[in-house]
Amino acid sequence: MASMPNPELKLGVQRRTQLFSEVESHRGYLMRFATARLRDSAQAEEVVQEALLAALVGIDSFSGQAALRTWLTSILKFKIIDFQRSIISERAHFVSSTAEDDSADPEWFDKLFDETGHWKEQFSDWPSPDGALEQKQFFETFERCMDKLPECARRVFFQREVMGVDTDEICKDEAISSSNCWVILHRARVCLRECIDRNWFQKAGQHE
Amino acid sequence: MNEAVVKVSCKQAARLMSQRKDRLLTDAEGESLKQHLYVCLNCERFDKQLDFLRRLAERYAAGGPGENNEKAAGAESDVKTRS
Repeated sequence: MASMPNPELKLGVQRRTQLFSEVESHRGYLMRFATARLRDSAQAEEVVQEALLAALVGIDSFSGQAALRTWLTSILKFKIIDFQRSIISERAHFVSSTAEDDSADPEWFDKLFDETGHWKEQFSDWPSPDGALEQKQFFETFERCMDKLPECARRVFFQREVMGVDTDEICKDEAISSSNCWVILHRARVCLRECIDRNWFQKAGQHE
Repeated sequence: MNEAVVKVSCKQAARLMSQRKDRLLTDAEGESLKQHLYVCLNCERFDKQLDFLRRLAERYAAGGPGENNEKAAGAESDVKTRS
């Protein structure tokens, strides 16, 4: 963790400089991570700032065994927990405004299916999806697609799929029921699948 | 336990495909889904694409494309504890 820097610096000056700029390059990801947890972007910024600072101070304890992002994320998690503890009483008063009626699907969702519940659209196989995972642009498309989701869906999806949080925990966090959570996740996945399909795989061949 | 295995539509199947990523399906739900996927190519594709979406998100959490990913996969398993 962000322990005190070793008096005998383990890392050379060059490596440190390189790591410092690499640390900064993960800020966007860390902001999304923190926003997914904290709701409030000002709070998220504060926590990310603290985590980055701790990372720079403790850079010598970064072994290089884990990916830098993984290491930064673990520091950030502790900062978030600290922060959440400090505001836990305020949070008790937070009433989620995310309640969605899960018995009736919204119009856009209903429109994906015909009256018998079959898909209206024929999906295409995604050509070489694993190849896409090697392309930076693809992840930018993914980020843009996530950003298009409604606030609540974005947060829930990010926690579930990116951070790997259990739905139980997300429910507690968001003050929503399990079925609500499943519905939100399902719609988010449907939206993202569609967005990625349209903005990447249907344009296959243009990314080489 | 004797929940009936019903024939499901794509709409219902899609919901089950999504939910089995978040909770355990009941035996009947699982069987309904299995039977649907057996005959529905479109849903099979949808299912594969949901799987891919999860891999994509995991990869994104590990830093996206690039040389760090193999290391990230083994390290810090707590980052990605999934049910």
